[in-house]
Amino acid sequence: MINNNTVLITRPDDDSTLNFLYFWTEKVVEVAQKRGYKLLDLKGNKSSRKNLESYINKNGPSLVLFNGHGTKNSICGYNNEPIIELSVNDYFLSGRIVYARSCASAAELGIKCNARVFIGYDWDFVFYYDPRNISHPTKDKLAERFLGPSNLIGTTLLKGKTANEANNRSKSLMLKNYFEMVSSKGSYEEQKVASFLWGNISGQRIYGDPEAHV
Amino acid sequence: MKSQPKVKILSSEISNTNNELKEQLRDLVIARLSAIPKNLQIAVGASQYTIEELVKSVERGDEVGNKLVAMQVQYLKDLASGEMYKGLDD
Repeated sequence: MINNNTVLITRPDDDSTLNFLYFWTEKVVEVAQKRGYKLLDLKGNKSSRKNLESYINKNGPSLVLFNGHGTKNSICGYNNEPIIELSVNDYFLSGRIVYARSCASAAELGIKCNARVFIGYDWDFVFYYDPRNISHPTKDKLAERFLGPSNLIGTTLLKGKTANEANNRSKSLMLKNYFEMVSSKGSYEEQKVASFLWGNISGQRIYGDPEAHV
Repeated sequence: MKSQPKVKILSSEISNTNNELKEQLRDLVIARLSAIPKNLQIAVGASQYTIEELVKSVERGDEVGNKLVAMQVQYLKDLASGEMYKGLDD
């Protein structure tokens, strides 16, 4: 079952990396709400395999946005529980549009699962942040350079654009950020860490139907 | 048969060169990391690291350290080859 007006988001929050992703995902959630989607928001400890499978079975979201740690073969939820694993339960992604903001999951899971389209990273997704902003992550300007472009994938898809457009818009913004960071416009911190953004740009992959859209 | 010792010497030379190159690359990455302000942290994989921890990882050659070296080497290659400017044409 595929419901075009339904989106599922996972966002565990049990360490500081995930906490940043959790709060940055709020901006994607707002777009989903404004656009009138039925939103299945698996926050914090709700990001479990049991919930994921149950919500997908009952609601058939056409778009699934993952935030969490990952490996080549899996995406994790709360407490590092693998909630999607290749050759175990990857069929839950079948026919859906998927974006995984998680490390390395595009490398094998993204290629081999039967998602309609899968956008993710074939190696580690990296971001820098200032630990003083840990209690208000969305105010962290340095983290925004890394996480803003990745949010653009979800928001572009929610606006009905194709997966290819979402992927390209995200990469273009990362590239724009990179060149701003290394230029005289960039702060000292930005100039020193810009090279790490390149890893996210070159590691971002799209597999499946690039014309897929919600 | 005569050529075997020569090949062995060459292999050993190549191996030494590779090791030297690896060490040089590691030193280069450590120098680049050391220039990053110490107040920042990085999320890599399932963990967060201070800059000092990253430097130690690269020095030890552990999994995270090796990943960072690979990332930085790829960055420098793409910078030198002009790969990163290709996206500007889109």
